Parts: sequence; structure tokens; C-alpha cells
Amino acid sequence: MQKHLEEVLELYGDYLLRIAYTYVKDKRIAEEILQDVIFAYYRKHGQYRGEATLKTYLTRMTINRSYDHLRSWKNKKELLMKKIFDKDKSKSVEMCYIENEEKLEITRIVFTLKVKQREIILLYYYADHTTKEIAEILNKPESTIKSRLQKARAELRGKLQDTDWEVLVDENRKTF
Amino acid sequence: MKIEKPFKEAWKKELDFIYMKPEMKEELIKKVISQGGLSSSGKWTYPTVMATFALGIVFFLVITIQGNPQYLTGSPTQATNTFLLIERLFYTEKFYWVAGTILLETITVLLFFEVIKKTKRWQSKQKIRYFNKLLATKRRNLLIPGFCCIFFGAVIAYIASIVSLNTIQILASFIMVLFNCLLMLWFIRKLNKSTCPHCGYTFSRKELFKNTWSTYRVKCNRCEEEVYYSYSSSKNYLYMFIPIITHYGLGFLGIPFAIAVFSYLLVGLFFNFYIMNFTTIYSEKDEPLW
Repeated sequence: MQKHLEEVLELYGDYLLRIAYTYVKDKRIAEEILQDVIFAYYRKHGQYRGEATLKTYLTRMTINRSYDHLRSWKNKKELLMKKIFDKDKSKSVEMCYIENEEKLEITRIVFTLKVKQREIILLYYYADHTTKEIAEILNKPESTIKSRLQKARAELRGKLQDTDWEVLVDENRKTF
Repeated sequence: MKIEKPFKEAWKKELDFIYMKPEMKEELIKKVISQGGLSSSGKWTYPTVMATFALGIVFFLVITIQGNPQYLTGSPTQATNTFLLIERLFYTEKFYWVAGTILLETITVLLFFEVIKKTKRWQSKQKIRYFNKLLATKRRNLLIPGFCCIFFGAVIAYIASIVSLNTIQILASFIMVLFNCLLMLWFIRKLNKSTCPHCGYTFSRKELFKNTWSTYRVKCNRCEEEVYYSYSSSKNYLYMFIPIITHYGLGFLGIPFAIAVFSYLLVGLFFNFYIMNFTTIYSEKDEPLW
């Protein structure tokens, strides 16, 4: 099992960490989420029936745990306290780092999107899933995913006005 | 004409800055194998503590509302004869309360002087230096606190002669609040304000109060590094047990519950807004707190 875990971490560790990070916008919490996922996988790997790929299975687990964190009272309380006490300093260190770094232009813009749009952009563009696969992962109708993707693209287009990012052109125009 | 950049590749490249270090992977695997995947994180702790705390508040509120009314409606004994009054004095509850209050007041006054003399961080202040000069000789050291004890004792005795038992109990609770505050000040006499373990930045009161609401990790406002509550910091919270014990004792002696709760709240506020500025110690690493 140890070897299998090593393989899983080697193959999907960074990928899962980035997924969690895109949800929670905090590296440390993302690491905690990943740790949770690995613990849960170790405990329940017998339940994995192989219907979906292991990558999809772990992605689903990571997303669920990220949502658990976002919904948690602890997170809401921290956000509220930040709003009250740090009106001007509400950005995390990572966010400051991202904003200072010109190279991280897209991440900065993606982080301004709502979670529901952010996750679609992440799964579609970063994780290379099709809309059908995303619908399965998120347990939502494909049409919902498509409409969310469209909205997210439109917002991104508006925010990334300086450059024409080729994939952000509408799907129907077949440019990607 | 604008250049079309490949969004997908560009973003993937950007996110490369988030990755797991090899040692982190090794550590995680070791942890999972050693713990058998049984305890990933103590997620139950936070909600359990918060729920217990909320239930405790509700419980105390309910008890306070339903408090026995006879404690609050006590009236002074009407005595017409002076001789009878003195004779009965030793057999009344009021006498023992007055004696106890004066004893408590004496201890509190002595502790006050000791706190002023022994608190290291105050020694540079001008008023404290003047105060220390005043108590420089042994004679003065005995006379001044002794005079204060007698003076305040006399004031309490005078007040006790004109008010009801209930008022004396309130007065005793007030002195108990002072005693608890001074006792906590005594315990932190050698401590300084919390600082960042990375850059040595001294946290302000506002920042420290804000940090008390954070679960376990906070960021230094100067160096932006993460700091954690240290194990020694968690031990310092045991000081809060002193008011619990003393107020529990007050409850046994028959102080109205509402008054005991109110005085405990005052001590709690003092602890939260002042004492915690010194008892909170941060460390660079995330230490197990229990």
C-alpha cells in the first residue's frame, strides 16, 4: 500500500494540491485538504470501484473537502473577522505574492471569479476534463456546466482585456 | 493586431508555483501509514469546544434567570438596643461576612503592593519609580501597606454598619474581582508582551485580540510570516482557573449567583483584554497543543 500511495502522490499530488488551492486560495489549507484526501483514500481505497479513473475519483474527493472547508463555520468566521479587522489587509500573503508577480496574471484574475465559475475554469482548462466529465464530477447537468463555463469565460474575457487568450473565444466558434 | 496566447498552457505554467516538496510527500505517507489513516485531523475539536461553550453560556443564562429571589430581597436586622446589637453581632451571618471581606481586602491590598514592586515591565515607568522610592525602606514597606489595609478595613466596617448583608456580599464580590485581577497580574509579572518569533515585532492589543479569534495560526503584520500558538502559551490559559475556583467558593458561601457570574465576567474580560497580551506566546513551528 505504501508504494501505491507513493505512486498516487507522485502522479496526482501536485495536481490535487493545485485544485484545492484554487478553491481555498490558501496554500496551507490546501495542504491540509490534500492530507485529508490521502488519509481518506488510504482508509477507503477498498470502496473505489474503478468506475471512474483514479484521477477523477481523487479530484471529486478533493473538491468535496474543499467545499467542506469553504462551508465550515471556521472559514466563515475567519472571513468575517478579516472583514472587520483587516479592511485594507484582507489579502492573504499568497494573494499579495500573486498580485506582485506579473507572471501570475491569469491566476490572479481567476481568483476573482466566484467559486462555481472558478471550479469550472479549473476543471476545464487546468485539469483537461470535458464538460461531460465535469458534470459527472460535480454531479450537475451538463447544460448547467456549459452555461457556467460560458459565463466564466465572458467574465474572464472582460477582465483579461489586454491580451486575446485564444481558448477564451466561444466554444461554438471552434477555436480550441 | 492582438496576439492570441494559449490560455491553457499559460495558466498551467503559472500554477507550477504550487507543488508538493518531496520531503512533504514522504512525511505525509509516513503519517498515513503510521496512523493507519484513522486520524487525519482533529476536525471534531473545534466544533465540540465551540458547541460546549455555547451550551455553557445558555445554561448559565437560564440558571441566572431562574435564580432564587430570596437572595436579592434580604433586609437588615432591625435592632433597637445597642447592647443587644453587640451581643447578637457574633451570632449573625453579617458579622462573618464583614470579617471575611476585611480579610480579603487585607490580602488584596498587600498583593497590590507586591504586584507593583515585582512587575518587571513596569519598573521603567516614572510613576512606578516614584512608588518604589516611597517604599524604599523596610519601615515604610511595613507602614504604608499596613496603613492602607487598616484604612480600607475601616471603610468596609463603616459601610457594613449602615448597609444590608446583600450589599456586603456585593462588596465582597467586588474585592474578589480585584483580588483575582491582581493574582493574574502577579503570575505575569515577569512576562512581556507577545512578539513575533521571526522578526521580534511586538503585537498590538488590537492585533492580539483579533488573533484570539483565529483557530491556531496567525500572520505577523510586519514580516507576513505565519506564527503558531506555542505549547507554553496553552499552559498559560490555566490562569483562568483561578477565578473559576474563587468564584465557585463564593457560590458556596451563598453569594447570589447573578452577582458571582457578573464578577466572574469582569475578571474574564480583564483576562481577555489584558492578561492574554502577555500569556500568548507564539512559536515558529506548529507545536502540538495537548
